Order: sequence, then C-alpha cells, then structure tokens
Amino acid sequence: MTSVEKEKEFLAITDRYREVVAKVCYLYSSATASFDDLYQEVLINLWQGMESFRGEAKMSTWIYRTAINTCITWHRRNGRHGGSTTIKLEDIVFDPADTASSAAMLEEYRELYRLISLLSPLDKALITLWLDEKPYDEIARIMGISASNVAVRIHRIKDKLSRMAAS
Amino acid sequence: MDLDELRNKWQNINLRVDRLDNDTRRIASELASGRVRTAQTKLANFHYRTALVGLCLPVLAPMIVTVMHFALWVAVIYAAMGIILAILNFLFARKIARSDYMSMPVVSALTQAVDIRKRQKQLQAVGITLGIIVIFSLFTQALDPSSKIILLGMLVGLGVGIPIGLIKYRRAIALARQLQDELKSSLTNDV
Repeated sequence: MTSVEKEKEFLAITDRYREVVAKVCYLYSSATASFDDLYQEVLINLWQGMESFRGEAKMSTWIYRTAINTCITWHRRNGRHGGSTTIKLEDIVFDPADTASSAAMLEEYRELYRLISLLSPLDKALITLWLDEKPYDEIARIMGISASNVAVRIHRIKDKLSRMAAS
Repeated sequence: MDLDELRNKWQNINLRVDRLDNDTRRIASELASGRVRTAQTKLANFHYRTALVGLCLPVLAPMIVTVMHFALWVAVIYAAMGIILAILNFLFARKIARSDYMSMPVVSALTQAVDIRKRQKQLQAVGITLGIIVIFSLFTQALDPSSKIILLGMLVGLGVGIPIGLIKYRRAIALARQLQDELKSSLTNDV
C-alpha cells in the first residue's frame, strides 16, 4: 500500500469512527491527559496498527481497543510545564440549547461524565461500551474477559454510579 | 439518574466532530510523511540513546586512572556501571519496541503496560544504585581525608537524595500495583 493510499484509507476510517474516538478520549481526558493529546495519540496508534490489522476482528472492535488502550496506558511525559487544556462537554456536544429539555439533558450527561471520570480505567471502558449499546459478547472480545464477567461488572458499575449520583 | 434511559439516548448525542477534522487531516499528513512517532516509540528511542551513553563510560574509564590518577578499581566500577546500564537499557528498549499491545484486548494490553511500567522503575532503581556507588567511589578518591566538612556534605546529600528517590519509586510502583490488582479482579471475577 502506498503512502497516499494508506492516508486515504486512514481518513476514511477516522471519518467513520471519529465519534467513537472522541467519546473515549473525552471520558479519559483529565488534567494530566488532555483531550487533544489523547486524540492525537489514538490516531497515531491507529495509523501504526492499520497494516497489522488483518480483519480477524471487526473494525469497530479494533477501533475501540486501540482508543481505550491508548487512553488507559497514556501518561504524560512532558512534565509540568506543558499546559493541559481540559475540554468542556459543550465543546464537543452539539447543544440545541433553545429547548429546556435539551439543556436539562446536557446537564444530565455532564453529571454522568463526571461520575464516570471517577471510575477506574477498566470500569470506565466497560461502561463506555455499554452506553454505546455494544452486546456483551462484543464487549467481552474488546476487553478480553468473559461475557459473564462483563455482565457482573456492568451490573456493579451501574449500582455504583447510581449510589454516587444519589449521594 | 436513570442509566438505562440515558443509555437509550446516548446514541443521540450529536458530537461537534467538525472541530476535529482539521486536526485529523494535519495528523494524517504528518503520519504519511513519517514525521510522527508514537509515545511508545519515543520511549524505546530514549532507552536506546541511554544505552549508547552507557557504552561511552567504558571508553572514558581509562581517563580516571591516567588523567585523574584515581585507583584502578574506581575505573573498573565506572566501566562496569556503563556496561550494565547499556545492556539493561538496550534490552528494555527492544522489549518496548516489539510490544504491539494497542490492538490487543484491553486487559491483555493493560497487563503489558503495567509490566513495562514496573520494569522501567526497576531499571531506574538499578541506575540510581549504581550511580551512588560510582559517586561514592569517586568521592573517596577525591577527598582529602582531613576534610570532614566535604564528607559531611556528601553524606547529607545522600541522606536527602536517597529518601526522595525511594519515595518517588514507591509511588510509581504503587500505581503499577493498583492497576495490576484491578487486572487480577477482572480476571478472577468469572461467574
């Protein structure tokens, strides 16, 4: 594959799955891992992995794995002098704020994102995949655990989030 | 908060991904021209460079005897440190470069990442220990035995530096251990 062909294919893939990557990067972004840093690193890893991806798994499985693995294993190496820009939910969510219900919904999602940010890295990945309506067997393939393990953990995470929201 | 209801509406979130389009195209262009490296590649290159620096120490070691007129055993320790660190850094760099865990299942990838993080900290600990031994050796040769103030200063420096280094090392290992514990609970929670 020539460089031009690879670039074209890469842009087609990222165009199709950019929302997935953006959601994952937003969930894992923090003061020490800026959204832009994570997003760039995910793209780089997707580029590197393109040639070794031979279609053994679904494309979406590969995208989710790469994005989540990049975010989970990221740690900032630039020291304290590199300023991190934290991104707000409004920066990436289209907010038709002319209706009260949309504003209320945005507020609920902001709270949900805040609670999810308090979860451990693996639980964050699980709840993200669940919210994206991935079936348990696909979540199991992405995570590398059994489907029954996925069901148990998601049930516990939902309970935990509900308790955190109530308190 | 009704999570199941939120889940139903989660797919309806409209993301402003157009702001990412310019970034994506710029990054794609840089990737196609080979100007960008992953964080993993940068880490591997850092340890390859460190290995090269280590290989310089045996080359410089004879000067400790011929120019500085120190004892031979100090030069031997200096050279040995360089060779040990060069070998360890080279092996570690190769391990990192050969790890292709980004597209692995998440738990497997995290296992590898934790392993690499722990080995990195162990390598740093070995480097610091060898460095202290070499510095101590050089000081014993350089100092006038009657100059107690300099000896005292050296001991104070060691007394302050070692605890700080140990604290930083323990914090890094604690993080790796926390991730590892979480991995274990993921793998043993099968129903």
